Amino acid sequence: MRAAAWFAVGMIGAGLAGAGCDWRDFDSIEASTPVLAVGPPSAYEAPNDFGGVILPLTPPADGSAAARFLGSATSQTGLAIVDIDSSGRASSQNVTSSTLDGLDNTAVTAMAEIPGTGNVLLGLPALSSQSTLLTLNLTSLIVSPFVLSTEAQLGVGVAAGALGGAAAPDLVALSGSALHVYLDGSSTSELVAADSAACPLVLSPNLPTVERINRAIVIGALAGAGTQIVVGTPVLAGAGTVSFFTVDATAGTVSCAQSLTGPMTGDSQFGQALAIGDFDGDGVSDLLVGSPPNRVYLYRGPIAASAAPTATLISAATGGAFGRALAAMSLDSKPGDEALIADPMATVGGEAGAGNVTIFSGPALATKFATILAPHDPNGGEAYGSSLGALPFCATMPCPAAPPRLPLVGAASQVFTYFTQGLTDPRKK
Amino acid sequence: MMNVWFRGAVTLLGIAASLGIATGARAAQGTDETTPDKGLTDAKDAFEAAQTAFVRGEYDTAAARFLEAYEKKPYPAFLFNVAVSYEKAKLLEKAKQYFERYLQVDPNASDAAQVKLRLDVIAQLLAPPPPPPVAASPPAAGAPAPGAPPPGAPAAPGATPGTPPVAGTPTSPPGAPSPPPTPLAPVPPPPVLPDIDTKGLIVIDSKPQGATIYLNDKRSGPFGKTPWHGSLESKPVRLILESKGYKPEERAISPRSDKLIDVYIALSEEHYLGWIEIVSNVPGADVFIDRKDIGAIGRTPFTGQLKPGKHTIFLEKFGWQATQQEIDVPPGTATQHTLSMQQSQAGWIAITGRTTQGGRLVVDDKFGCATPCRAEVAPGKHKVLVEKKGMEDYETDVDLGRGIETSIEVQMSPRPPRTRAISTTIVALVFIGAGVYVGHLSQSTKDSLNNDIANHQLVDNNDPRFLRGKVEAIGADVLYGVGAIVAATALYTFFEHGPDSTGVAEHKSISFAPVFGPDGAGLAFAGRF
Repeated sequence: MRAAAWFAVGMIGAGLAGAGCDWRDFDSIEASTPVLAVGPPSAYEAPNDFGGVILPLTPPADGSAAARFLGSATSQTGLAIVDIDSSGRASSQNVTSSTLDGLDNTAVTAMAEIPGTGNVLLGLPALSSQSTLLTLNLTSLIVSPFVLSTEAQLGVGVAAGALGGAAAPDLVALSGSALHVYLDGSSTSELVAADSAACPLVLSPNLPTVERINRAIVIGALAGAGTQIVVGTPVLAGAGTVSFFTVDATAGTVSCAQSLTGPMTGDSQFGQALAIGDFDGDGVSDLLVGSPPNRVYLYRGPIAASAAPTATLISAATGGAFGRALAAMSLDSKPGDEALIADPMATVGGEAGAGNVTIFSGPALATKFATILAPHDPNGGEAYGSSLGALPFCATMPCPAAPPRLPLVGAASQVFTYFTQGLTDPRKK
Repeated sequence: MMNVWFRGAVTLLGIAASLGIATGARAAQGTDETTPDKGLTDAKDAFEAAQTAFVRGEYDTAAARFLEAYEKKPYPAFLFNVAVSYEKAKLLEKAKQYFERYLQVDPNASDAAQVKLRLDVIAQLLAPPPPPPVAASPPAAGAPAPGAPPPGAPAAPGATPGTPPVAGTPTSPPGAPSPPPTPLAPVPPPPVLPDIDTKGLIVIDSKPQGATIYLNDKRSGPFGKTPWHGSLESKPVRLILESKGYKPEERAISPRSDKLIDVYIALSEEHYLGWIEIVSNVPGADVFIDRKDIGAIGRTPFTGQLKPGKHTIFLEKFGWQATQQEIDVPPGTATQHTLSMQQSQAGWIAITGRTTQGGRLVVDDKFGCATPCRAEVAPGKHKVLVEKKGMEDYETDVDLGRGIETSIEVQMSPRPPRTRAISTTIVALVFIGAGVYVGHLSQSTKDSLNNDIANHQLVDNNDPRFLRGKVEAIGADVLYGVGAIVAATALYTFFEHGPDSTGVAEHKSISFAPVFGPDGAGLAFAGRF
């Protein structure tokens, strides 16, 4: 009798086990979601300030990650590196360093990958104290001082690229009033371009903090021959400017080549964000200039001095910051890149400040993608689109020369990667 | 003096009560109970006068009256009472004389032995006194000898035998020389007559005479036949008189030591009833007529009146096969019916034990009897089950021999109540139901996610539905698990046993032997244990 009772108990247990829910199903779905949301790693210094400044990185050559990016806090020291495997799963770790710890909790608000070196240039600007430029080795995650300066806001914008001279990449750093070029990546080979009427560089300290961090600076062949350093300079009032600088390594000079001024009244934020892309697919880089709160201008390259914008993208929304961040990448099979334009203050689903990103396509960016990127469950003040990037994703090694790039969107506390906005989902299934 | 008054009052009340009973009984029964015997009436009057004198202490008068009663009706009890009266009057010679006469008239009296002992004591008291003891030292001058009456006191006739005068003992003159001292022999204590009282008398007569007298219950057998006289213990008793062809009668009497109760019953002829006598080769078998459920009406051999017509007689006795017989009772006749009983070929299973009350015995899956009980079972192996609501079953196998009784004293153990199992089951169902509900929520969440993804919704891995769905899935599994555990507990509780019911079996071999009794012959069984 008792054996029968226990047999019945076993059958009931087996039946219930079979009828139970498997929570691992959600893990499977979670691993295949079209969007990967990555938060800061544990013990991150600023849990609610992670996606304000992001930097897509070249995937490591050893195949240890299919994609990689850096995320930084904008209000205090907090830097983390995120690896995404070929299946789309993310892992992140804090970048900790006594060097960073000794910088009086200054935030890394500008980052630029130094091509071919495995290093990243970090800018830690300060308004009234010592500003710092650091380098981060992506392999060892060792942070090293590069330049220590009393110049206000040095490092408010950084870039790296080949500007001439030797093969080693050159580094560029902006301060509140000047442009510093470190030839061949050497802090001792410094060239400085000062503010001028033709190429304004002064960034008013009275601008809101959010408009002063990660100051727009790009390097590209935008104005005919050679490579230019393009710097955006928004202003408190009037029209902002975008200045083009050229470097003569032989002469050891960096000089103003030309500039663009906000074409419309109220374009004080002209130059808040810059992005280089070949939007028309003609093989020449074009320049996208953000002029929040409502406009983004497309300048088709080569760009002549005082050229008029090829196209103007206008947001009818009020109270937003359309054009605060920009990115360019190819998301469809057609020639030319698509422009991703962020409005981190947009109201989504009734949530003010939730933010969104609109994708435009076509030679003049006249076509808007039906899908507007936004948080699936928007929250007020989430500031989705505070930063944008094009994340190269190498599911297989060796990584192709032109790997697919994924939209990388930073928000207040997390960073979103979109796997299905391109033609195919690049993840390994 | 108070005792005498009280005794007298009780006697008068007793006489009055006796008369009242007789009168009341006559009125109630409607039968003629007046004594037709003039001698008995006179004897009764003399008896009552004697009792009155006795309670007044006029023992001589009482003796004379009792003697007068005896002359009217020669009941030995009157002689006994005469003797007692003389003994009370300290006329021991006469007392001795009437006690002896009492034994002579009724040598089989129930108190003959006691009366003989009493006569022995009286004889000792009447015997010549022993020789005077020799004093160890002369008494002081003028002092009486120990045990002697005071000087000058005459010896009272009939004085207490324990204190007889020392007749013939010379008294020493004053101043005479003392005889030489001699050793003093011990004097045995005089015998003492225990207290004694008169006898009451019961006189039972009937018309017609020869009726069988039963006391209290016919089951105890006949007490005697009318006419009957004698004494009974002083306690109420019910008389049953029965005579063939007459309707039985009953009377209640209260015998007393100071009363003469005269019961005379004229039995009415009852020609309508029939008289039956049932005999069997097995004495003491229970006799049932027509119905068994009202119990046995007597035991074999049995006699009694029965309504004319067809009847069924059942005889039952342990160890014997029950038997029955249809009889036809004609009115106003006497018939004898002989039923033969056969020794049982079976064995018996007896279930005893206080805890088995209200249960039932099942032998080989068939109802045996309501416990505690005995069931007759064919010899061989049997599966015995004793079951009772709320108790654990008792099961055992019995190999029963012919003529063997297996008596099992069963101690039944309470079965755990099922209420706990039921409540636990309800709790389990609640858990499982909650698990189903939460599992449904989880499934809905999963479907929602899959649908959104399939519809190109930009669902990210931090979507709150993942956490919610996992919590729901885990919650459902936890609820299922708890429900399963509780269900298992409930199931276990359903099958849970209390302590086993136990039984101790005894095997008794029943043997039969022929017996012969005053009322018949048959077989009796005896057990060997």
